[in-house]
Amino acid sequence: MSTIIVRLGDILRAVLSVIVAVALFLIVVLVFYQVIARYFTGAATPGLAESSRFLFIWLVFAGSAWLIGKGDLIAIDFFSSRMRPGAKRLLMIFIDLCTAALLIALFAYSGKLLDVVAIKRAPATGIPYGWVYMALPFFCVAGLWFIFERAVATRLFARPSGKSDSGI
Amino acid sequence: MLMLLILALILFTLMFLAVPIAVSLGLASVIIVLIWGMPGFVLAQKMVNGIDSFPLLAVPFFILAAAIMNASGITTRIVDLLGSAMGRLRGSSGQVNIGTNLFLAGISGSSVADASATGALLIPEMKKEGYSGAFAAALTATAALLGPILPPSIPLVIYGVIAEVSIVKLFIGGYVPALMIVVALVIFVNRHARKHDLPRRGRQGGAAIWRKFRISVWAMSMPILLIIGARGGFFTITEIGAVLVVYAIFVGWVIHREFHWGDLPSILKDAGMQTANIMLVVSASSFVAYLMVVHGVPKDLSRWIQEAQLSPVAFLLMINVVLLVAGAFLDSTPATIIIVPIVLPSAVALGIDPVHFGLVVVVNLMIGLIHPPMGLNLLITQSIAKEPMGAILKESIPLLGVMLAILMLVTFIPATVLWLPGVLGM
Repeated sequence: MSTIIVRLGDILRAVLSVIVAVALFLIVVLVFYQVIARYFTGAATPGLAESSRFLFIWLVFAGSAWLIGKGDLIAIDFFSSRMRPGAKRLLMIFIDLCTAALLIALFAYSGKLLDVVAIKRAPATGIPYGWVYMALPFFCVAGLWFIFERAVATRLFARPSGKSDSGI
Repeated sequence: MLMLLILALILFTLMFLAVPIAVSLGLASVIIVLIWGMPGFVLAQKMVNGIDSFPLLAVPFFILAAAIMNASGITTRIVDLLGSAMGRLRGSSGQVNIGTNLFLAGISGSSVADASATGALLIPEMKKEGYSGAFAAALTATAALLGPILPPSIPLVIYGVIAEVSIVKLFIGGYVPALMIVVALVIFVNRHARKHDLPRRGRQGGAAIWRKFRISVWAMSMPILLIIGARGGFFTITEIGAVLVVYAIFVGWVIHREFHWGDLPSILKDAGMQTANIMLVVSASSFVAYLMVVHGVPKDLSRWIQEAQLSPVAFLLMINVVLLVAGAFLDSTPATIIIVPIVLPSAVALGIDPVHFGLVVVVNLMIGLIHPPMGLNLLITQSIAKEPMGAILKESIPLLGVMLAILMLVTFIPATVLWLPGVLGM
């Protein structure tokens, strides 16, 4: 059971890595093309800037989900690094519970947000805002999966984390 | 007021329990939303809108350009060049450390990245030359503070977005403070080397230095490209970032011939993940900053300053204390996003230039990287030097004094920041 969960987690990590790398590559290409296009045509291309911003939002939330999976989000571990193993285990469970609570709340809030923006479209590209804001519930679901995976794979941190990196 | 006190209490409790900063900010916000019955979708919306900004795209570009340059062996080349040129100085590896951090600061915008890159190469080198490991670690941590002060700078981009100030002007304003830090550190290291009678290694011939310079100059001219692009009005700051990425690929692939296209996906992934880590904090901080503004904290502060008849000097002194304390406990990104919207209106009302104020904020928060309890740069260099933290802290105290002296100069002499943009007609 736990092997299947970890394997699914690996696939999800790989998908998130690809989203992040491709999004960043496309952002560089779009912004650089904007510079070139403006130089030759003298005209601004607001659609390119808008697309880049939306890709950036997806990059940030996909990358953040991956970071939750790796336990690599920026944290102040000055005091926790000096804790004894038993206390540290409790702390790690507490941290994952806090993260899960936030993700569940954000998932609920983003559902309401998607309703609010359902008929709105971006001015320059016409992209529905729902697609852009969808990054947030996607982040929540992926992050929750990783927390569940970690809890199962490490038996609530009773054994070393079965971290795996299927990065590209 | 009660809301803000509860928010701060939850936030700091969670952060000290090693809950990730973004999660602490987000969860504290969720609790406030639940207690005060606010519409939760506003939190979700603020989180997305907080990063929906074209200028913020400069952040991944600067990270990516630096990563490509590093993959092309730039750090080794700069160390090699400076080592050859400065060999005749006493204890030259200390000066090479400062010089390398100066040039890397012109390529990357992150102090932590620079501390890792230069520490790995130069701490062992400095130890070999006779410096104590603790001093080498303390110096590397301090010299790496140049990264976010000299352009391109990630904290200055974030400040520029929050304060709605020209990021180009902020970048150019960072040059003089950065050079002041370099001069101060060079003098400090020179005195240290004389005091401990460290050896001279001898200088290589002019031809060898010229050969190394010719190879390194491409990467070292990135800051010049940045100034020309920005000052000439050819590009926006985000576009400069994209141009620098393409330039870094060109230098790594065509000039250094050490960049391999096969490495690009993993470089993109790493740069993207670093960006996500910073931006999730920006995203989560946005709601907290919104709460502060909605509850009139900036107005209350302005009113209090008027009533107390605080002068600009007293205000800046107070801000320095607040930011130094904040920098000791908070990462620079949430500290900037939460504190700047509160204090900037008062600063502007007192006639303080927002560009000058931006550099004061960034220099202040960067000093937090070299003093306890967080001192992230010290933690990084300690892990490389493998010296007791107590010994490193002891060596850091005089360097901290140097940085505080420079902070005072930057704070109370606005020309240190505003002179260069003025000369360039900005």
